[in-house]
Amino acid sequence: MNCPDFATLMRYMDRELPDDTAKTVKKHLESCSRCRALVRSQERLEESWRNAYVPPGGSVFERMEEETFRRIGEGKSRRRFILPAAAGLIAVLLGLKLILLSGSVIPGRENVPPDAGPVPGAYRDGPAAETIPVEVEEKVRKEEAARARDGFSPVESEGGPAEELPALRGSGPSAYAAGNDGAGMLLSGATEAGEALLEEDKVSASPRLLSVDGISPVEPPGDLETGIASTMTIASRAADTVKLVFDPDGRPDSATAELLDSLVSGWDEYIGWEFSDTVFFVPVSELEDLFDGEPPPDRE
Amino acid sequence: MIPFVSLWVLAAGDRDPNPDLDLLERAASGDRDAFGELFRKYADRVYRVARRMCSNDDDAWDVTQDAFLRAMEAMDRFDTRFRFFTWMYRITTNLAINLARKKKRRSESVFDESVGRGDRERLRDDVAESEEAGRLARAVDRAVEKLTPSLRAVFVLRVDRRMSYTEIAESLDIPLGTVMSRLNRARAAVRKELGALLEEYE
Repeated sequence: MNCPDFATLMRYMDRELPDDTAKTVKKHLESCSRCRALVRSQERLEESWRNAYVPPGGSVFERMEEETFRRIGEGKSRRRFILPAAAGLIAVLLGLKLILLSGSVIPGRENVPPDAGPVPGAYRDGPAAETIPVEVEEKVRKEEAARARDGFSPVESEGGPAEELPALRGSGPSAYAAGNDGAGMLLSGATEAGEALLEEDKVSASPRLLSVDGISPVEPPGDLETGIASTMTIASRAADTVKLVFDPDGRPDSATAELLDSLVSGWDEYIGWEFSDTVFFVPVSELEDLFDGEPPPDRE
Repeated sequence: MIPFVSLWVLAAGDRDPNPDLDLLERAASGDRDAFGELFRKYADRVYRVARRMCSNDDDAWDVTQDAFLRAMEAMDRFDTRFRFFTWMYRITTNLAINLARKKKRRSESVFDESVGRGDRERLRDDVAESEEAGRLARAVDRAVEKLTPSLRAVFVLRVDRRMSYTEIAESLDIPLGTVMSRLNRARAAVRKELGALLEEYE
């Protein structure tokens, strides 16, 4: 038998493989010293890191509790307003859209929705639902439908067709009906997608950027940034997010992954940016960095 | 029929009744004492995740405190079918990720070699089982610091908190496949960073 790939060995170590696969791997490990050594070294590595944590000593948590409650008492939470995440997101998106349309420079992101993100179960019957204009919800739905038509489904779910999943994960009333509800969440795990990713465990040195908002780069991009920058000049720039699609045969290498992470991390709570390792939704505002802090060129 | 039934079982969830139900309900109705109890019960775990995510003690302190403040504000919207710490970990990792981004923007890179300045020394020799294990732990710690924040979040919840893939997906609100691919990328990056040191342990 060929040796299982690294991902499979790790899933075995984590006890996250289906029983029959786990049995096969176990059997393999009995006869393969190389794989045994790999698993063993990983176990030691992780164990040593876990055990080396030194909890803060003394009365650190008492002091912290005191300080926290004092801040609550003084109303000094850094969050100045309690805005439901969904309403916050909508506001930001609408704001962005207006700014983009008016062509002015995108300001800092002081108004980014609270980091706390949505509360599990929020909005199911809370007041937030009433604060979201119907037309905005409609817009989100239409965008989602448009994406689905592109032949791209956000999350393959065993629970139902992709269209039923929220466009913006965890960000609106519908999110809790389908995606973030306790039951929905259990069912929406993209197990098959995960399996496929694990099978394809290779990493390409330069992932091919297939398209930006459905438009292929005119020239094969020398690097990701040039590729996005050149394509963005012809892609629609009135959108809130840009859809980047990479060649599925070459997953982003770590440098690209890091660039993408730096572009989008912190936003995953509000915008469903990553549905697989080859398709990314990046907020347009985040692409400022690629244009030296200026908004993308040719914006009307 | 069988698949349907198993799906139903999954959906209905044999979730244990929330052990903090009473506390959570009281806290949601604005009971400060109940929230204080939740704080005392979970602060060390939340801080631990924050400390693993941040590059120094001060940031971890701020993130932990902010996480509880935000939880307090949103308490009335918390769904008690979820475990409290699952939600706290989400808030905590989000805050830590945003902090890392802000720092990066201000170009005081959090992945910078110069971070730590003593803070990093929380991995002291005297707590490590041996000199050797301590050396490995420190090397892993440096490698983990180089991970991008979203990879690090998955790595921390799996390796440090020993959460299952499903729990991590739930906690971070990302698909299961994303948990697996990020964890895989994180582990591969850590091993690559350790390089030759790793061979001694094989």
